[in-house]
Amino acid sequence: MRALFIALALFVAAPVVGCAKEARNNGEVVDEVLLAYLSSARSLHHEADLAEDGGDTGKAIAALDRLLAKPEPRKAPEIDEVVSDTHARLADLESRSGRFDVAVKHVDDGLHRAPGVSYFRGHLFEVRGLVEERRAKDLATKGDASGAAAAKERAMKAYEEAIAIQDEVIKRGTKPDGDAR
Amino acid sequence: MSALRLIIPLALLSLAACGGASKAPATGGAAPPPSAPPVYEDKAKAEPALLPVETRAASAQAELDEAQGAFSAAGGDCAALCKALASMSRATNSLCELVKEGGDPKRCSDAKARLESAQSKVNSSCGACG
Repeated sequence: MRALFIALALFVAAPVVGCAKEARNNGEVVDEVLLAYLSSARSLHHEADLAEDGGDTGKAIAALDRLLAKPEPRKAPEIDEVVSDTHARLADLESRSGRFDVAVKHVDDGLHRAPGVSYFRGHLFEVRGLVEERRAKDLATKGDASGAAAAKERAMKAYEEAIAIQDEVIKRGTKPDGDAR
Repeated sequence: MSALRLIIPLALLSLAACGGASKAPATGGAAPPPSAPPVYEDKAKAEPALLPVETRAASAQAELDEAQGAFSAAGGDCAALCKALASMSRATNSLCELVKEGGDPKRCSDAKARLESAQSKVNSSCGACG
């Protein structure tokens, strides 16, 4: 799924290279660095996939941390999408290991990169719900009933926010003159 | 395999986008939709070759615009819409599970109603998501 997403991002960026000659003719810089960044991101997500398949969550986290540590070639919506999606995946992985505060920080950092109505923002709220749900179970196991109840309420609110955002994404994308791209 | 099925049309769309940058518009900008000449009551009897060249060019442009729109909807747009719908569905299921453990049932029913409406919109635009 991650590979598919990044493949889609690459194809969104493909005209940059496909129209390279025209860009050169106009004296513009051809942004091959952006494509290299996206390609590298795809490789690191693939590495994380393999690690996850092998049950090595730590190795998957390490691969994605390396991606976030990479210098970004410039400001670009494709990069914002890759980074916010990587934060979402890291939040999921960290919360599986019980590091809920680290996971929430990843969600917040991801939301910072996806401020508008988008699939990525909605997905981050979905993952926040997952993180808080896991935290609620963890707290309940430890006998902290009130903490668990509070985390559960945060989880439900986050899921509702995710639903509202994705609903808006779909409404905009299915309007006759809508544009979900 | 499903990724390839998405990628190939997207690649073609990318090529089309580049080609479009250098082509001259047939009618010099946004073409109005063609109107049927009043002399033909039955459109099937209309002989396209007899129509003025401007009308045929406008018709071709409108058909091209429509085809490009449909092509776009079948590629990136629908992939994005299906992803949004899948996320919405997961969030709704998780919310409803939590409500079952103790919560206001209306929160679940509201979410389900919203999901059904979104599902209907995506189905009508894209067909079923894979």
